[in-house]
Amino acid sequence: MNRFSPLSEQEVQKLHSASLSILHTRGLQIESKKVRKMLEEAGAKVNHETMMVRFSPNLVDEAMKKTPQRVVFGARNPKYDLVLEPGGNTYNRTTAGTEGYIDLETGKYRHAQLCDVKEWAILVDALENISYYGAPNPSDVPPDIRDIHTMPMALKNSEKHFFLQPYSGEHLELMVELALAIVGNKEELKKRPIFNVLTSVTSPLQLLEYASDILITAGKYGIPVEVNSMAIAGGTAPITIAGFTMLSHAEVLAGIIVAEIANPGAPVVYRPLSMIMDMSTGIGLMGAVENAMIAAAQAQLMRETYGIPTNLFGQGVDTFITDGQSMIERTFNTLLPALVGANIVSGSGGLEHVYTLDPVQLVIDDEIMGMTKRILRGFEINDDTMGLDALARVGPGGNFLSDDHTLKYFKTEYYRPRIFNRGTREIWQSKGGKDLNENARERAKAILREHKPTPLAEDVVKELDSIIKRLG
Amino acid sequence: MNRFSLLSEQEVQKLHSASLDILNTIGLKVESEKVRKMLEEAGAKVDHETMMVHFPPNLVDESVKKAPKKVIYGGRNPENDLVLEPGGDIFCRPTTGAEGYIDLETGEYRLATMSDLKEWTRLTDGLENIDYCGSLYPSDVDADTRDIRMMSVMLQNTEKHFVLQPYSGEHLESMVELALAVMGSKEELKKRPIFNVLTSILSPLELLEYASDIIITAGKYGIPVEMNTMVIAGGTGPVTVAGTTLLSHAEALAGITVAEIANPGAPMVYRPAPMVLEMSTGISLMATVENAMITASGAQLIRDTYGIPTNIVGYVTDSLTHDGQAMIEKVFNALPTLFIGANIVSLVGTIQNCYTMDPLQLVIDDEIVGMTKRILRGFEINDDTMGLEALARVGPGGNFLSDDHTLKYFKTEYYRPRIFNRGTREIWQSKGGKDLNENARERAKAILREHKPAPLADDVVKELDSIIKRLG
Repeated sequence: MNRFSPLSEQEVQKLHSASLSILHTRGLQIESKKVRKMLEEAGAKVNHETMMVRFSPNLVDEAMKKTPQRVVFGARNPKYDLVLEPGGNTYNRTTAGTEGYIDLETGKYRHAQLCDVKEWAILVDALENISYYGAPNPSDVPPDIRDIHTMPMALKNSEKHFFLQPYSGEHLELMVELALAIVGNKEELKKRPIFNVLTSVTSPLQLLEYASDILITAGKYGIPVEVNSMAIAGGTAPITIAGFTMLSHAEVLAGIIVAEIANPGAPVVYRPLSMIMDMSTGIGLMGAVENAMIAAAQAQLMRETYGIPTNLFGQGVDTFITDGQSMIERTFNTLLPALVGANIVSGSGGLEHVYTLDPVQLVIDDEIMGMTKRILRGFEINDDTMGLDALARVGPGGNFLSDDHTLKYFKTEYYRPRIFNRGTREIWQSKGGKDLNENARERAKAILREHKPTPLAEDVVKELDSIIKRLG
Repeated sequence: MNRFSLLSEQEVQKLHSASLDILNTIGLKVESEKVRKMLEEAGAKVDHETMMVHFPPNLVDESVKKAPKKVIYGGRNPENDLVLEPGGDIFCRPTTGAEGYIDLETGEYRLATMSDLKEWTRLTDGLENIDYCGSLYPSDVDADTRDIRMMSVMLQNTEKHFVLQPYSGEHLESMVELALAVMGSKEELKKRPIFNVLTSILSPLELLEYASDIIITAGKYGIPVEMNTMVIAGGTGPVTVAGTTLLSHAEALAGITVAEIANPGAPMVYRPAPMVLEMSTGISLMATVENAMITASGAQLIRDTYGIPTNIVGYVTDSLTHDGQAMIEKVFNALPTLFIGANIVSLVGTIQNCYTMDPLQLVIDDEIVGMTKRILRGFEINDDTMGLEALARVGPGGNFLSDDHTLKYFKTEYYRPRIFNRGTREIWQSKGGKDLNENARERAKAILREHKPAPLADDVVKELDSIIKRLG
């Protein structure tokens, strides 16, 4: 199926040139002296006093050409490996790092805990349309090592690729240590990294030291980095969709350039987020229709310039609960970038922008993702699929039900939803008249009852536990 | 914003040629002898015994070319007039002819009544994003003349255009009489028809007499006809997406051909409403992902061939209630078609595919439509909108909040939802922690309390009443 290109070629060029121009004439403020020196040696114009680093279009171009268009996200179980490449599959990842969690039993909001990390991982492991995931931020572990702490709990309970946001380059080194306990050696980890990380350019146009540390450390080990920018339109970025898209593009490119100059060929993912300042409340919105428009523009922009993998925030919503607003906002936010050709749409299971995870929402998002994959699969048009012979056989007033053509195609043509209601009102009511959320809740509980993720080997578990113990 | 093309040029050609071929080699069964004779005279090959009519491709092509690309749907109040034209605004409407109604207070299902029709029509009139109205089938009036009786109620309760499904050509004549009481003259009615009608081909490939009567009578008065086809994939049409798209297209072209031969220049609207047969239950579905592909393909087929107006089923759900499934399915089914550029996307306010009207859902769908209008508006990309000067003013770590650029654009850049929750969890909870449905219900009640469509003049009402009285 054709990909959607909402912007014209000239519009893409306008945005891209303006981004390059910003990087050239103004540049990025880079906190780390070491990184500034590295960039200076690579040809950037640096002012160490103001910390401003400017990148010529040539420099940008060279760095981007080193950036791989194909990135592998490995998993504990190779069958869950993901290949991000131009025209490849579209994947999905959950929201991560939330403080809040919606209790599956009570439906009430509370602070996330370590046991929720386990529950989340098990659900993800069983849900076929959730490609990889991150975990909530447990409140019952020491806050300064929370980022590392979730990793063993998650990896013990799911064989899928895992995503983290490290607090620092040092913490990332510890995460690598944990990963090596599972994978065995650095070469294997580099080939099929079982986790990836995210770090951010601070808007407008600042790269803090902790962030460049993470970028460079990750590149050393071949751990893919989702290079994020978290501008807020009307706050740390221009209010307009055009201005926002252009600035976030410049920021993410800048982060990628730093990564590539430090470690040529480092696997990265273009991952500009969008938030819009709600003038009446001061909140950064993520579920507005303009967020979806920005995500679509960003996906197209990267697709048509350097073609490296993209992760657009798909299921961003502003509501606090798994209500109709959540469904509306996230469907817009998922479908739009997916139709444009994003490699990953993320945010499944998330509510309240990035503050809360909800297992019921996760199960629903698995369904939305299944639908999305179906539409992206498209359909074949030829004499056989068009059923020309069948039409001639059946004729006016006839029926296709038992025709060979129907028997040939009916199993593969249609996506089968897991939790949607269909049929007559009578049948639905006789089965209890349940709505979507109830169906989703039942499915979540069934998974948690029945699904047993493949455990890690005992000695691996011992090693993970000992690394964590060392942290205190 | 660029339009989306789901199909490639070659795929459009394949489907279109195959449709013309079917109408030629397989043909249409036409029940009315009079119509068969008319078609024979126009150049079709007719077998009066089998009632089969074969259309040479040229005949279809020349006839459909006579159908106008620009059609006016008039409103009792000219401010509500809609212009359907290539690249024009995109409109929406509810279903027409549903039997069920969901009580606004209790959420319970019942058979619709005249009083519901009144409530429905007034609510539609008061919602700014619902462009025209559809009828429902009240169970508390004489079933034989329901179609005509409904019209009088609708004329009195909305100033917007509306659609009806007449039972016969004769009943359509009575409807025209009612319309003339309001419009004054046949010329005025032809120029700005205040209602349009929907009638269907019986799949596969049959045109019944009552339907051709309606088509031809409508053409006489210039009442636009939504040429409906309701192919059931796997039942009355091939099970594949390609096959059902093909058959819907062929059937609609056949109906339009008949209309144009009878009354050259008759305003026609292409309206595929496919269903999918769920093999395990025998239920016909309208909101599957595959439905979305079939309908979107239909929209593109006409856009890229004859360019006459299209009414595509988009805001549709198979859910029996206004739950999360309804929201997901509606957005999912509407977006591809909207991006392709149908003139009308229908079934707002409808649940259980086309069987039940739901005032709560209508208010929610009004919000969804508002969001889609925002997306379709797109965004301007130039040096000013990109905020280049603002960026130069705002340094690293700076803020755009009080910048002139922000003040210039913040009011017009963003859609303001009416019933979505935003802000913080605390604020939301302090206001009662209402979900989307509760917000929507409040809005519906407010509209019904405060909104009063302009009444018709007394003498007009008298005339309508007397026409209705004559029905017995």
